[in-house]
Amino acid sequence: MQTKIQKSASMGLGAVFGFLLVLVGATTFDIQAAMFLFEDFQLPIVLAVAMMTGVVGVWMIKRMKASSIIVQQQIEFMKIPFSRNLLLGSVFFGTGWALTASCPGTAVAMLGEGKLIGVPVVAGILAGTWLFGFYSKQKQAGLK
Amino acid sequence: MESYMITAWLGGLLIGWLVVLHFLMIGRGAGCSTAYACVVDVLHKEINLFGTLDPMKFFFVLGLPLGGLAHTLLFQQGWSLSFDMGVYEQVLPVSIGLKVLVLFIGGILLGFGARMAGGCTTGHALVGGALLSWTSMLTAVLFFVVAMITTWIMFFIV
Repeated sequence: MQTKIQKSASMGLGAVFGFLLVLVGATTFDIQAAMFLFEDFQLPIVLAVAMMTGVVGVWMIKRMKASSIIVQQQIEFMKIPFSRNLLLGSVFFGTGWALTASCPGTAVAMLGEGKLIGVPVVAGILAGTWLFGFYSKQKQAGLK
Repeated sequence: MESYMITAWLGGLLIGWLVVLHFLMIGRGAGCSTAYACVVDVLHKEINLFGTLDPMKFFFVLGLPLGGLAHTLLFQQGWSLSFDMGVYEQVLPVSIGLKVLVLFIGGILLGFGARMAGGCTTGHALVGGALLSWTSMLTAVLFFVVAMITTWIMFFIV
């Protein structure tokens, strides 16, 4: 199922996304700080416009009952179910966002720009992901 | 002022369409944090820590630095390595070692938090927002509020 075309398409879309993240200033530390300190509203505008555009686009896909182009299959519009973990996870994530002025996507895009700040951040995210894997495995084992 | 408004609106529009295009081409929502789980999964083949993962997310994230590089080459004055964090230099430790440590710990919080919350800014704010998922929008708002409070503490209290 995972053809080379699918992989390259994913990578191509990722490259465009990386380009756009840099274009709108999501990888610029001062613009991140300005957003959280309410000094300028560039990133909140980007987010709001992107969300509205996404809503319209998804509505159109659903209306056309389109199937995905590369693998002809029904498009999955998966929503993440609510759980209490989500709230605690948000607190961790938000704190990390403030400390690093990056998120899992922008930290990788920064590497392409030559911003070495991304290196410890990406390493940390990998470590955090790994830790969570072990934590949830342990929790599961404890329940059994 | 005006040019940044154009960038913000145009960029937002393009990012929104990219989210839609990802659904249309790949058949699933875009996402960034799952890619890290893919890497950990490959490094830890003997134990399956995360269940089933979408391997396409890894290739998506692999594309990100190419886009960053392209933007730098096309629109910025030459490509160079930097370790500068702009205004954050005022609030982060001066010593490189401590700075790296803070960034690494921040990264751990991002990785742990993203897995615990089921996604990052891309998955919850951009994709979840486009799907009008209340859970995702609540999560995205929480991400933002917590980050905002922490930033205020960093800049005005510590």
